[in-house]
Amino acid sequence: MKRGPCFPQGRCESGYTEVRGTEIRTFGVSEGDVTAIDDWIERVAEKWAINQRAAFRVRLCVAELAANVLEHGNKNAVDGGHMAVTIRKVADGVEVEFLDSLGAFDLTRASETVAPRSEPGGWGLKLVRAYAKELSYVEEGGCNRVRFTISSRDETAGSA
Amino acid sequence: MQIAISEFGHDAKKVVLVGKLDISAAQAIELPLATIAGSRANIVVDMTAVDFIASIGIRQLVLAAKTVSRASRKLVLLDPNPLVADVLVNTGLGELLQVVHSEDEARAVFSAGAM
Repeated sequence: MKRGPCFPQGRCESGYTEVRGTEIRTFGVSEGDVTAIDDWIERVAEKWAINQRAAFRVRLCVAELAANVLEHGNKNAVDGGHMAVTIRKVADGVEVEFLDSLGAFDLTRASETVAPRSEPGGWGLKLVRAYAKELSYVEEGGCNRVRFTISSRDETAGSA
Repeated sequence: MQIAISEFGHDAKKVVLVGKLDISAAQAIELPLATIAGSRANIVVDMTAVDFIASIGIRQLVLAAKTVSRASRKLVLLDPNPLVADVLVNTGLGELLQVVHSEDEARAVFSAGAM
C-alpha cells in the first residue's frame, strides 16, 4: 500500500506491523475502512484482554476520528488519503495514535458548538473529548497526528 | 446490524436493533427508521442487543425522534446497556432520546404523550 512520508513504515506490505504490546495498521479512507478499523480494534482488544469499558471507548474514539476524516477530510490528498492507527498496551490501559493524511484539523481547538445541541455536528468531537485522556494533536507534513489514552481504570466519564 | 420491526400496541411500532450501530449500520437503518417515523406512530427502539454506538448511529435515532416529535409522538430507547447509555448521556441528548427500561414504561410514556 502506498503511503505518505509521515506514515509508519511497517515491515509488512499490507501496512500492518506488530511489536509486542503495540499494533499498527494503515487503512484507506472509505466507509469499508472505517468498519475495518473497528473490527481490527475489537480483535486486538480481545487478544490483549482489555476490559470491555476501555475497549468500547477506544473503538468509539477511533470511530469518531475516522468518521470525521471520511466526512470532512480533503479528498484531494496526494496519496489518496490514508489513516493509520497505533494501539499500545500500557500498564493502566491503552495508548492510541491516530494519523490521517487528509488536511490539517486540530480537534483540540475545534469548537463543539457548531450547531444547536439537537443538531448533528460536533457530537463525535464531544465524545472524543469525554472519553480520551491526555488528548494531543500535532500536524506533521500535512498529516494529523492525534494521541490519547484510555484508562482501563476510568470510571468517571458521563454518569455511568 | 440486524433490524426487526413489529407492532407495539395500536399506535406504536417496535424496532429491534441487534449489533453495532456504526457507520454501515447507520446507513442500513436510515430508510426503515425514516419510514416508520413518517407513519405518525410512537416508536420504541429496543437497544438491549446494541453493543456499540457511534455518533453517526445516534444521528439516525435523533432524526427519527425529531420526525415523530413533529407529529406529537414519541420515540424512546428501550434498555441500552450501560456503555451505550453513557454515550447517549455524553452527547447531551437525554431529553430527545428518552431511555426506558421496560415495555410498560414505554407504554406509559406514549400514554402520557397522548393526553
